[in-house]
Amino acid sequence: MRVRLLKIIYHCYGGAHSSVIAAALHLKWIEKHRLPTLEEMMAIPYYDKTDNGDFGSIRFMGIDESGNEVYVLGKKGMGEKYTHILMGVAKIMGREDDLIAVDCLNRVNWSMKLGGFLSRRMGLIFPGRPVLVRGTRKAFLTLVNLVETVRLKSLRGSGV
Amino acid sequence: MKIIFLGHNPIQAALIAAHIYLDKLPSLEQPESLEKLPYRDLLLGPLYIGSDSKGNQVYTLGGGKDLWMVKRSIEDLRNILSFAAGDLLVESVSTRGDRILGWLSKVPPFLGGRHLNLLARQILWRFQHRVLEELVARVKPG
Repeated sequence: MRVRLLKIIYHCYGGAHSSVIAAALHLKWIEKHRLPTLEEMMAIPYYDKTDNGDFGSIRFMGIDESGNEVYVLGKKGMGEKYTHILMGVAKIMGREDDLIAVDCLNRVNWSMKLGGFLSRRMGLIFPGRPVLVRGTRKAFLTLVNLVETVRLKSLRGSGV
Repeated sequence: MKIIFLGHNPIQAALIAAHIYLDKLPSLEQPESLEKLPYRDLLLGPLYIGSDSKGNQVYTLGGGKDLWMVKRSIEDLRNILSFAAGDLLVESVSTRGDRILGWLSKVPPFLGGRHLNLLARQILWRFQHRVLEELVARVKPG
């Protein structure tokens, strides 16, 4: 059986927090069985490092062990609609089966929203980042759950 | 080639632009197939409108407030899926009328939102196409 390599896009509000953590989990850059430390999170590319000019840009994160390419994207508050847009465009190009778009915004808690707003929008690294990191750790297990679902879907989708 | 007219919603300025491109205008009537569809059902992906004489397929797409952001994502996606710029063209289309429709779409159905929306669509359709011909000329060769 021919193995199909997928493009997996995790998207959230700014493409800087929940989608980046999800991508890092997918790529096994952080362990899923324990909460990541501040240093581990800050070592992930793009984590709390994007600005307004990055909205809409699909940024490459890495390749997983199956050869699938993993990306992140910030789409403001557009929610699940962005999944429909991306999948719809892939469909008209005849490549719907090669793409998985994953909305991470619904896994974001208020601490992440507040911390992300202060840190990215207002430029207040302190107190924004500590609040954000606390929120990320609180949301970590739901993100693990989301990524595990996507990894199973990618295995089925790639024909493995 | 696929051509996507990207509007705030897929059924006003973008739809008129697509019709101008396909030489289906002047017409003051909305296409029957789209007239009765609930607004929210139209926001889920590209809508196929028709093909031109060269076989280019024309679509409309609703991108919400930030069209530049959606356009950028689609162009990035095109590159990620290894298509050339000539395989997929995205053109943003925006008029004030689309914003009005967007606001009306937020009126809940029990307050008459659906009827207001359908009425606004019919009224706006009659005026918007005049301002879009110049834009379509950018996409349409010759």
